[in-house]
Amino acid sequence: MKQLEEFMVQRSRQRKLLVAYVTAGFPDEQRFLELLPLLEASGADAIELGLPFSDPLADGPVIQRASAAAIDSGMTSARALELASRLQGKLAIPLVAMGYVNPLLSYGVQRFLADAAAAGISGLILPDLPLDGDRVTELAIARSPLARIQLVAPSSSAARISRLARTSEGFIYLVSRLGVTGGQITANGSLPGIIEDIRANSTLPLLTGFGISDARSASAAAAHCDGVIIGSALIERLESDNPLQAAAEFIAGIRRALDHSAQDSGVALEESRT
Amino acid sequence: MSRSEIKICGVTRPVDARLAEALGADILGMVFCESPRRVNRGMAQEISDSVENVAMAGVFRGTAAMEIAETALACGLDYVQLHEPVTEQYLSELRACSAARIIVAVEPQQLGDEAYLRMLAASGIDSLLLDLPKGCPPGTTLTLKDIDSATASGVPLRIAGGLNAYSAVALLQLSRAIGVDVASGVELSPGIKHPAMLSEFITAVRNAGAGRLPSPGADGRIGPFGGAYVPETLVPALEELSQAFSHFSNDGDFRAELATLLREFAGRRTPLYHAARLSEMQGRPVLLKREDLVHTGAHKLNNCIGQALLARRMGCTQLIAETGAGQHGVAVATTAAMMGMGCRVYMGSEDIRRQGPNLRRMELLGAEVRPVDSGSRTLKDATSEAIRDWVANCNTAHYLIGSAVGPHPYPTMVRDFQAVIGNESLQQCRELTGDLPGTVVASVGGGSNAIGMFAPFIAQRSVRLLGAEAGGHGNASGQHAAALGLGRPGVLHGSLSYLLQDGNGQVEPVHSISAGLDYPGVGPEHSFLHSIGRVEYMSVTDREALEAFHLLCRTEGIIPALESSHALALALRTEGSGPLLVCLSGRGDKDIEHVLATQRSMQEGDHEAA
Repeated sequence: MKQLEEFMVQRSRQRKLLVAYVTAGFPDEQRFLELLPLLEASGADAIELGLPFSDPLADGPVIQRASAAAIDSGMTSARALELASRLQGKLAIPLVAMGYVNPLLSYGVQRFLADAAAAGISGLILPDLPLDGDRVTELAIARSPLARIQLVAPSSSAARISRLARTSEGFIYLVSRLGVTGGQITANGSLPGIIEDIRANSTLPLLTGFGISDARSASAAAAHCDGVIIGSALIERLESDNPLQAAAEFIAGIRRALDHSAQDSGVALEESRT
Repeated sequence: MSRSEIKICGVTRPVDARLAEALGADILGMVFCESPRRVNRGMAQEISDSVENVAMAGVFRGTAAMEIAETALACGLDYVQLHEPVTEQYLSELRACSAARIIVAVEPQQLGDEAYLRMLAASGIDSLLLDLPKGCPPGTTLTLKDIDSATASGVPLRIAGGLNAYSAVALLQLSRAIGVDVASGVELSPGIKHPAMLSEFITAVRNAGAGRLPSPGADGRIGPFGGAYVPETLVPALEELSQAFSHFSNDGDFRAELATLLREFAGRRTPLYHAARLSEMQGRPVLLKREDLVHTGAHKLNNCIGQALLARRMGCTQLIAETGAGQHGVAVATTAAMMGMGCRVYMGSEDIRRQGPNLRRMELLGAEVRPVDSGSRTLKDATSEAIRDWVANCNTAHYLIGSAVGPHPYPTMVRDFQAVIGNESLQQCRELTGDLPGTVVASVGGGSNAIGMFAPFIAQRSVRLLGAEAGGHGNASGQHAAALGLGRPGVLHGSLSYLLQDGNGQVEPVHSISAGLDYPGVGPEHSFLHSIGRVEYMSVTDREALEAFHLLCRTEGIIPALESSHALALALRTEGSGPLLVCLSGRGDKDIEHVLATQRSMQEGDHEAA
């Protein structure tokens, strides 16, 4: 079992999980380094560290903007790993890298996996590498200490859902709706069936992401699974005048909502139906 | 193409051996040296005993001749394959103690050693195996030059080097190799053959037609290129599209409807015009394939009609598209209007500035044009935005890609719908000249007109094929779009192909006077053809393209698109014999304002320089 899995399984027995997405080096390197411990203190259970790419196909306008700003200020995969290693010892929660295939290939897959592990990164999300999309790369990740987190989409077939659930490591990332990151979550009648299919094939924590923008959508989503992933809405707070405080307050608010709804999941279920 | 031998290497389990035998493999290889697929004698005997009608080979590296002979005897090996440089003495020792036939593996770098190849040819070995060295960077393939120099030794040659269903067939068609050797290309994990991949590989090699370009297997790989690097959300849509495409491309009704629309709506077949004045200047016949005469003024409509017919059969009601110069956008908007479908076109705001007339045409045709302001505000960003729209609407919309790029099956589908250009040209060239062309030239941005034009000529190795890439202000300027000439393999918009990128894997800004060529990537099949050396891709600068633009206006009375002007410029600077066939992919009316403005600024620049 990879390290990430141990942590996430353990933590999900205690509370609903909250994963916070941040773009490496955003809003700037100094504040980024201060931000991550603050997110932990505010209630995040893991950090998804976005490695900027010039053409992020799976991301909506907010994360595109943050990526472009980070690249403009000199952010690279190598620099992001350096920032991660400077945070070692300052974070008790895991760091999971989220990046696109091209910078990974450019860095060298084997070398990236080794350097990322050395920088304290314990998982990897590759939104443009579907299962069976590149067997050489996938085999290298499988043999590395990094957990490969699979995304399950509302459009995934039953056969694919079961394979995704069985091959995912660390946790399972449920994409809440068709579309890119950001925007609003929409009612999706097929999700309960998908969640059932995933649960039948895996005991890993199941987290929902894409379109979780506030306390209400977070508790509604978490009522059906083990937690949520928040990206665009957090990045928007980081674009404000007082980014660190705004981000910390936002995450703390989501944390309270998740803890509250877990105590009274009946209410959350009710809300999610309306 | 005579019957090719298929060797399945790195077999570690009797179950895989039996399946390979049943599917018609000729030789099974077992690895006795250090490898993730290594077997011991006991395993090898078990594998050998499990099959009857297939020859067995053992792979060795640095093993004493006597030990090889013992293993060969114990495991029933018909062949022994040696993976290190061998000496004459070693070979004669081995022949003295074993009846097994000898295969010697060579790598491209050894092919320059003529003495070594002569020694091997004289030593009575059975055959050579040409393989790539371990640890090649992604996107490496054998080249036709390598294969030709190995077959020139006179020893029968099998080829390896990370082959898959596509590259095995393509390289067999283009060379005199007697067979193929595959290991990892039919596996998901080392040593475990994947039944569907094994079956797909063997079937593809067995059913390969002589002149027809192969299609990739289910993984969408064109040699090492291509694939489908997309969000999970799109995987089902692409699978459905692949199935629909392979079903309908052989469906009589579909083909008949497509043929009718191409004839009566698009105005095919287009003429192959013998450009008399240009021919005189060149001293050889110059033949222009008049795709500029297709309805809407460019070759783009060929593909749009094909894909829209497919989309309609799949129940899609909406078309989504990206456009650079606007030619593809106009063609999609035209098709959508004709077929009563909705249409959204993404166009970079920089391109809207350069290609205003096409924006207005799309709107007249009822399409919704969405300007894209992100990134470089050109084709690359329009494509990303169209894909994002598709991710959100893949239940009801078809993404109609206009170039031979994108995830599988798009590059192959676009090629097949555009192959009408090459198929007509081949026939027309024979009618006009009684001969094949000596040289065929087309411009390459993503590469749809080029792949369509080249398709039937690729297997004809006497025909020289040239692709004109956008050289912008020149290769040294950094302002160009020459992905094949100056890029390296990478992933953009769903497939692995040559890509202009910086050292950190960020896609680089590109420049071309032609909005249709202003793209940092290129179709994956072009990457393969470049990598094996079948097509030569060369840069043509903005200035050269402009000169060719004017030349054609004044000498032949045709105003060409700036994209096509690149092909023309490359054709006119190329020496050679035999008919010179140029794909005139589109008309230049859309470019007139831009040409005049560019010339004014170039003249001002020249003044300042003087």
